[in-house]
Amino acid sequence: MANRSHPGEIIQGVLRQARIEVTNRNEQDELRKLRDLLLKEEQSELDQLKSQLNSLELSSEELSEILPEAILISNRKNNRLKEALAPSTIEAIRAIIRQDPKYFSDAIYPVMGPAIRKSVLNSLRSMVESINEVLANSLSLRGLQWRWQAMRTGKSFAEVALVNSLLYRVEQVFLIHRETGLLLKNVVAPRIEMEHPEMVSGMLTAIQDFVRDSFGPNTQGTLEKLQVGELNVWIEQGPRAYLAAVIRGNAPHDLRIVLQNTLERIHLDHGHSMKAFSGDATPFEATRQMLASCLLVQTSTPRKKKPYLAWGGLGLIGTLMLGWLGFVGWQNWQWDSYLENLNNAPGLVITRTDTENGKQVLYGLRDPLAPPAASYVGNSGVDPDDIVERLEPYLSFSPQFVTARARQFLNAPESISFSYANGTLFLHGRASNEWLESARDAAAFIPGVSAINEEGMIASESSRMMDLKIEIEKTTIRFSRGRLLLDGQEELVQEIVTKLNGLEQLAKKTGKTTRINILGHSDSIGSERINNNISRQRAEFVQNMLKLRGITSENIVISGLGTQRLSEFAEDNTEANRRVTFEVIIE
Amino acid sequence: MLQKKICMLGAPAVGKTSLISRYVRQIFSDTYLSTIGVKIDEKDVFTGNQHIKLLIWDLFGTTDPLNLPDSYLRGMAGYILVADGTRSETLEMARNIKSGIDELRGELPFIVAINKHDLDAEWQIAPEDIDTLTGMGWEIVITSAKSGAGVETLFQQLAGKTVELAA
Ligand SMILES: Nc1nc2c(ncn2[C@@H]2O[C@H](COP(=O)(O)OP(=O)(O)OP(=O)(O)O)[C@@H](O)[C@H]2O)c(=O)[nH]1
Ligand SMILES: [Mg+2]
Repeated sequence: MANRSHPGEIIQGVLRQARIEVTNRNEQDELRKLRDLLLKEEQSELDQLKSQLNSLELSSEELSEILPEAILISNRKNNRLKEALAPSTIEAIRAIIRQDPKYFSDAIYPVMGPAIRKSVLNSLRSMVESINEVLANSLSLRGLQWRWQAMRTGKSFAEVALVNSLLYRVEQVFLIHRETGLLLKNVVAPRIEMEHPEMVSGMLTAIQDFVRDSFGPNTQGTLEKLQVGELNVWIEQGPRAYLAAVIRGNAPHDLRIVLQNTLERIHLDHGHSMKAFSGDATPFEATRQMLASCLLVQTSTPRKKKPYLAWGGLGLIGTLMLGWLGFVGWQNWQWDSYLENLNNAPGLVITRTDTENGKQVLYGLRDPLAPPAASYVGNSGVDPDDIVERLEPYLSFSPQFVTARARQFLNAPESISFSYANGTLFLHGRASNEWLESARDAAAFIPGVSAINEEGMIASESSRMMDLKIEIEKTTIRFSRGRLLLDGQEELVQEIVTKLNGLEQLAKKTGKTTRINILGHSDSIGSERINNNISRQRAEFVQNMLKLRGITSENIVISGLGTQRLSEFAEDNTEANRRVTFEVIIE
Repeated sequence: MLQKKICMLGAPAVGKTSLISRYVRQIFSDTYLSTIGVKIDEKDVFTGNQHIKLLIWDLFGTTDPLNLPDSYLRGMAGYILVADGTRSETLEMARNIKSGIDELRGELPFIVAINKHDLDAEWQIAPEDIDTLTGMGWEIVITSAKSGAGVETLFQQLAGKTVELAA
């Protein structure tokens, strides 16, 4: 039972992380680290390599460009590099970002908020239905085949059944610029027609925000999957661009990895052009081949023949027998599916398992913020009491942990949400300038965070100031024919005072200045001179009222506009025009 | 070919959607269907010898850009501020929107459309009002989505501005 996690798999994961680091952060550091690892383990091979490189007269700069590519190629060919790197990489695992095993958000229709929620239910329901359908087949001939396969491979029956029913095709792939939502490149499968791919790109971008808004700022992840009629759209996020694959049918999870790899490659090769992109997509023509490699198809259900047919022939008796035989493999299978849960659990790395006094011992790493391994038993059937955890603490750089740490560390208000990618912590939402400033300083101390991005932040002060400005400017103080206030206007003046005080406080906090124009107006009865006078007197009157109530700012300017701005609400140019209004300028 | 994202901004019911449907589909309808969220249209424009594909984001009407989700405004190369010539307050609102955008996204190319010019009996905008705005450096086009007047110019001008800036 020992050593359930295949080292090759772990290394593959680690390498993928390493590549992301190299790719996206573009830091020489990581390259150096990798080179060091190579040096340690494969001295002779490296010497050979070196002399080859020297004879080609490659500079280290050129090498740094070739190395990631070389690793990619080597990975594709065989496992030798992974195996060579294995021992030291496991040691280094703490230092390397572990990617989020992206969780799938459910299929979603891009309609209104409530409709979205409803459709999530619908698609879940139909998924359950299709599984039920498969299970209904479980006593059929096919069902027997699948059951047998499940037993042999240690996978769950439902999983095998689904895999066997799988039939899918990737019909279109879009590469979309994150910042602008503009299309960088798209490819389509043969005989598929595509209309307005540029528009679709924009819509996909808008939908993502829409979904985030509809599910509230606490939806941590990003939209990964949505359903449009009978098509599924899978979205793979990258720092500068994302991929959207339009799929007919049920694609296997492996497709996700193909998309990930492709997107990483594209970032590696074209990261710079993506940064500089301002509407000219020609540099991205070069991504055609890479994108086309995602246009995968699975055309037929694999059919197993004779031996299973024989089993099927045994009918019901066969089922009973299988049931009994199955019991032997049952516990194995339970354990396997539990370990698979763990493998997918963020913040947990299981490197080795062992048995001790009839208990299963897990070795590896666990982020203190991650739930204990025993909590992942789910419905695998494994008894949590049979598990002993020997997990060392480590800091996972999965987005959900980095963001959870950030929330704790920065003492973030509810109104802020975080996301994290490639060393950058993104802040979204509203917060006071005060908080933001302290967050800026403190963020550098959060493990895994090398930069923060506050583009998504709205200083709550500024928006509050804007609101106050609008409220003040909406207020009209009404006068009698002379300089006297109409009934109820004093209260309005008092409200203005409160608002001006609020504005002043916010201005102080944000380092802005406010200027107030008090504008007097008059009706159009009488001569212009009189009207100008009276309107000015009205403005003065209000200014005095403000003064008496403590508003003594020097930034108040009064003017009498006479009839220059007759109110558009006034029907007869009289009453409604005898008024004072305000303008607020925030600088 | 260059792609440029532009946004239609303005108070509710000023005619943002109508201007787009006149421009893109040569259609006008009297029925008012308020936009919810965003709708995206595209149109090919040629300025000089440059082929531009405008991706026109038609946003729901609001007087405060802070109400708009980030991604609606992110990455736009310019915008059209629409006001309704029969409601002078919508022009005031356009000012608010402009300063909001400046705050959120910085200064970007923009053009003001004062729409519904076919309704001349109800027109509320005096030439002086327009002079004030042009005095502030604003570029203004008087439009009617109903008659089509000014619509072509409006989008063409903005398209021109977006490439000027990039060049
Ligand atoms: N007469 C006339 N009516 C117009 C014109 N443009 C728009 N309208 C009408 O004004 C109403 C609102 O038009 P919309 O284009 O839906 O306005 P909108 O700005 O998109 O509105 P929201 O999406 O809600 O912000 C509709 O009834 C249109 O028919 C125009 O140029 N002339
Ligand atoms: Mg509209």
